[in-house]
Amino acid sequence: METEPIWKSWFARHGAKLLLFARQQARNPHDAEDLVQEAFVRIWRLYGHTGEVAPGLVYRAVRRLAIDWARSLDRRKIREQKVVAEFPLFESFKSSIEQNERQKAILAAVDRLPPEQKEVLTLKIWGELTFDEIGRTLDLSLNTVASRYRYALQKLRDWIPVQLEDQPKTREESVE
Amino acid sequence: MKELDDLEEELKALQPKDPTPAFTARVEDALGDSGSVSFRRISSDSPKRSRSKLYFLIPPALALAASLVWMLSFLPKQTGSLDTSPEPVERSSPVAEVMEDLDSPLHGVSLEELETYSGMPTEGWADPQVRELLLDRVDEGLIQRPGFSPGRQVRFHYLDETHWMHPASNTRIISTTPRQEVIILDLDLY
Repeated sequence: METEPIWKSWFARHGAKLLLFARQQARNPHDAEDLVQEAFVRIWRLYGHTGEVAPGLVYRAVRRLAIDWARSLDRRKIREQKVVAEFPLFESFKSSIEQNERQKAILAAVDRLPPEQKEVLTLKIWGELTFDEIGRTLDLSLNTVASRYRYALQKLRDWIPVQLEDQPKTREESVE
Repeated sequence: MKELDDLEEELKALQPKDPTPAFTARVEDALGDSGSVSFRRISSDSPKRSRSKLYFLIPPALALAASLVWMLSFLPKQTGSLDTSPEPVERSSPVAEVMEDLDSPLHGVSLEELETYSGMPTEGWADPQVRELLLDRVDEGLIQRPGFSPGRQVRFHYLDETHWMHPASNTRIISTTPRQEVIILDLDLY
């Protein structure tokens, strides 16, 4: 029997989801990787000795760091330079030839969501967090999280064509 | 509601890209020692690691050293009781003549003597198999270091096992050595 550092299997499970979330916070892949690295290392140093770390802690650290970095003058300058080149959400996902167009349509719709709804949707769908965990990660109430998620899904249903086109649409606008 | 459930399923089917190996390597570098504070056991068919061929000399040498001590301390008394003739002057000389065998792991004892006295061969040992067993990991808590950020002290208890094997005589020797390692993880309180 040999051993493997636990962080590797942990990171293999959660790394892609963290990067996806971080890309929404940082708006470019380079900053996103820096965010994930910094957040993960900080949290793992504090709690890695327990053998397991709740993903919500790292998502929360990513978000707080993103806020800190956004406040930093240097970071803001860098971001202003990089934001010229847009990084569509589609580029953060695996794609296959058959599903390419459909995926693009779905992810383009997700990209159109207001940021506060998109981050809730990301944490729920791809981060696989509960509403309660999302609330603690984003410092929001349970009701706010649930309603943002519901609004996001309703907007996507209206925006994504094809299979849902024949269903009656009840479009609701975000009231937040 | 069903259409929203379908939409959820469709979204879940989309998989974000995995981190690149380069990025994972970067994270590993950044983690440093804190990446190795916890492990999980994984099955492996790979052969055990082998460190150095010189290890094969150690256990026979230890066994032979014990034999030699026994011979030097016990046998002269035995033979002395049988020998009633006067002791030659040369034997009482404090300066002993030492024959140095450079291949022998024991100073002053040739390989031939080692083999004779111990009854164990000195040639034909297979490469030793070495493995490191992690017995325990103790988190000793936060420590304050003047002039530095606080750190978390973690103590590892290992057992280093070395297996020697002599196929011709089917002789096996296992040596175990306990070892401790203490690492201090820098904490960046956040």
